Amino acid sequence: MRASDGGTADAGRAGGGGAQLSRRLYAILLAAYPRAFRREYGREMLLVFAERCRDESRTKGRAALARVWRETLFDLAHTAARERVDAITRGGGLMRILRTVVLALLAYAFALLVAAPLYVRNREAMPGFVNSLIDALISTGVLFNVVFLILTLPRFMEGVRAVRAALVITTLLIVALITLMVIASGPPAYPNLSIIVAQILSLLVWFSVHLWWVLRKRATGSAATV
Amino acid sequence: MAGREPGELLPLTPAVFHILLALADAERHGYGIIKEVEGRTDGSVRLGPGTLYGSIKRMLDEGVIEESDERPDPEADDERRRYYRLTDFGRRVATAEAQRLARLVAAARAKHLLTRT
Repeated sequence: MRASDGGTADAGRAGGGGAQLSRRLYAILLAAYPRAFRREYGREMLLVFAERCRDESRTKGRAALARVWRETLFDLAHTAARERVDAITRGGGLMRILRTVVLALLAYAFALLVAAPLYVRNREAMPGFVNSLIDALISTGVLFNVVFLILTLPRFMEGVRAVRAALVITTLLIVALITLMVIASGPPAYPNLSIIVAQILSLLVWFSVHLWWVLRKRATGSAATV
Repeated sequence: MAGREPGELLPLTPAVFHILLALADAERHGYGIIKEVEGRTDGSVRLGPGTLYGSIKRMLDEGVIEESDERPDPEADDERRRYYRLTDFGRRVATAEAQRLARLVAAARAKHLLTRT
């Protein structure tokens, strides 16, 4: 036996301006849920919400929409958090994050214990631009990798999109840091141009490395998320 | 869910039990479930979309409900909707939860917390 309350061609459009606007706003707010959950249920959630708005505004007037919104926002706040936690802890997600964090920490520890002393010992013998470039590669690398991890581990973003976003965010962070340093202590004694060129080159290096990695994973059919 | 006992899933959350009750006598789509629960509880329980589909996701995973294969007639209903129904295991889970709650009510009655109406 199947129960039906009648058809709706488009509940959002049928409910008037307030219901239409509510539908659009709720469609944006659905971004609070994990991508996989949205993909599976987002369309139906939107349909259910639109039908509710339509029915409430038809039977009880537009003021009833305020109550629908109050209940829906409360519902969204606690269920989106739950689904986010669920998405992280499900299917070995938590172990994946822990494994990645441990590997990243080991790599940084290796760089600090082995590479850094070698670099510091030979720093004086290196040309100025090489020093700037190595400094930039280390600082940009740390920032770029942290931003990339923050974007991809909880699956806010995936693939090439995450690499592009990491480039934009890291660039903004570096520009902000350099600006703050210049404001706080004036321009550095050594040429600014070499620092800027070194930062741009190192950003391109880290962008290329991540892009290569993401495209290689996609080509070999590995998980889309990196 | 072969080999599983309904008792393993108890106690159910109120939302899950309400959804099982809504599906006990008919296949329903999401909004149909919401309306049935709201009508049965005189509007005191209003499931939000997140609670409903979060519960549905977990109930599908546990095998207590399933998606209906039959698609509705596009003339009579919105073909984008998905309909859900109880599985045999889901019906046993609902029965087990109802019996558990009935035992609790009986205990409350024995303690004179409830009067028989």
